Amino acid sequence: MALKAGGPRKHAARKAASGGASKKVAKGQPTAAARARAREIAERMPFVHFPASKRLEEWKDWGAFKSRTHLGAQLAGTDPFDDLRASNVFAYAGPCCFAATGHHGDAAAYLHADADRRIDGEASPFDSGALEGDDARLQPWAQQAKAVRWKFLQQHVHPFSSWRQKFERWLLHCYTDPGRYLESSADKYAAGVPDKTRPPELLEHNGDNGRKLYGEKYCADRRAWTWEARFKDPVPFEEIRLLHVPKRRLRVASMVQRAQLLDTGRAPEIRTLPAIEAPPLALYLRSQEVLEELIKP
Amino acid sequence: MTRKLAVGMDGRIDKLRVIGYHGEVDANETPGRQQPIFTDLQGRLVGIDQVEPSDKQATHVWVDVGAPAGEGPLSGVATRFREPLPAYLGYAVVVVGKMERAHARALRTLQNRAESAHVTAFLHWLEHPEQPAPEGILVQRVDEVIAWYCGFSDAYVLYERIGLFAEKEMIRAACRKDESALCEMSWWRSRVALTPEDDYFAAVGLERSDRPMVEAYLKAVFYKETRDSVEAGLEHARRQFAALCAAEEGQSSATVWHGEPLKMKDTVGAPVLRALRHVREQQIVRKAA
Repeated sequence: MALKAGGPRKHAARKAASGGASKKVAKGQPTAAARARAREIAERMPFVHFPASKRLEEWKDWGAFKSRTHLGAQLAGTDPFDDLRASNVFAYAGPCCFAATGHHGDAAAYLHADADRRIDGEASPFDSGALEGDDARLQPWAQQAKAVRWKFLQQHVHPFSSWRQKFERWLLHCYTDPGRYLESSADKYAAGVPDKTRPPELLEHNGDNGRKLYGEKYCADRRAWTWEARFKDPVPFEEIRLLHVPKRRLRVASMVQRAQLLDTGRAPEIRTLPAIEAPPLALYLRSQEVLEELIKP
Repeated sequence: MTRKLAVGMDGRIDKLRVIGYHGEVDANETPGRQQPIFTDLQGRLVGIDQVEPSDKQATHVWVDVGAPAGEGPLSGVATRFREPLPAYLGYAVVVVGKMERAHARALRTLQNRAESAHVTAFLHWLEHPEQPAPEGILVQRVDEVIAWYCGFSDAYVLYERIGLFAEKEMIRAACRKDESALCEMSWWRSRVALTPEDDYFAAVGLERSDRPMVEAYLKAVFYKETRDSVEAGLEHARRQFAALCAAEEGQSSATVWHGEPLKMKDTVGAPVLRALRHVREQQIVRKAA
């Protein structure tokens, strides 16, 4: 090894100062810090659910978070995306990206990270909703036939038993700084944008790049690189780790918290938005800081 | 599909309407600041994705066009207006209810450095909401609440006014030992808190009137702070509260609500109490600026 200027003694001093680390990180390989951060995020990432069809104090009518089929609906069997939507409880393993056109509500529920050990389900590295329907957005697959879009989704389904290992490797592949995955800035096309994706088209054809390419046609925002979790079974309320609510709902949230404690012995925490901030967009914008708090050891 | 819409010099977004807001706000949980729900002129739900200023000072927005909103109640937890309102950039919905209506006149006439012609006009109208709203004031009645579609700065001024008034009422309630009124005013104060000091002051009121909720309140709001930091903020607010109570009562020594006198070293004279109140009001005005 060539010594730097200063001679052997100064080299030894530098080596000692660096903790003895003499290995250089090969170009393109993650640093030790990136590996540690990816492992921390992958192991501790909670899930966030946005139950926007009932008010917070009425959630108890469900008994648990349930899909339409859990509530008795029959599957039509004509569109696999419709059946997927009807038979799973959806959550994000990432920022609360539910503040989208057509999703109306003002409270979010963060689920315990280990809910995936108790409830059957699967995860994918992008929002499956961006592939469905006539307004599919995940480019370039959005322009292809439904069967092709479904096949693409199936190629990226990971059961809960293995999804966190895949998630960790995905973070290291896509980000030099895996912490950026948690970004929830106002421009959802640029928030948390990865350095690369697998396949590369996810980045090349969506987000800011997609807006430049497709103009007034749809492309996906940060949901092209936000992991989606799909719980196949109902999610009991004791899996709620944290309720994120507007300030004015604190008393109601506290009643829900007390009721949950009486029923299950396990009570969710409560976090409120600042009074002047308007949900649901504020729930998304603040989700980065909530996730960082929940992920840290 | 996405669309690029022009924004006028007055902030009005071309071809967009506001048909309601996210969430449902109870009349006893106000004010509530809620995100508006937009549609285009064809009745399709629209989300604003990006604001794009141009070099000619004209502004455009990129919007995401979704499914039709349909007629009748909106899907999910949402509130629909009887009539749509024009859409403006930088506006949100402030929902007011029982407390704001009951105290509209007092809020309007409150002496306050941060003025807004819109807030004054809105509060004047709120005293008689059966009248048509004045020009430039965009309101919709929804059952027992009233939604005011206004700019961020107007919402800020309204929240600040409510906060100042609620604090005065908290002190008056404490002085006459009206626990119920203190509780109501403290919760009202909490719903318009703009600074940590506002939240600590509300917490002190709750400490004296709704004690079981204080721990939950502090944990929910100050989750990023250490316990020592929260206790320090609370103690500072307790002293302010006690001093303002004493000033209100015109006493030369302050007493704590539940009858225990403060220690002699905490006793302050009337001129100092007036100064304390002035400092507090100046803090609020500076923060508003």
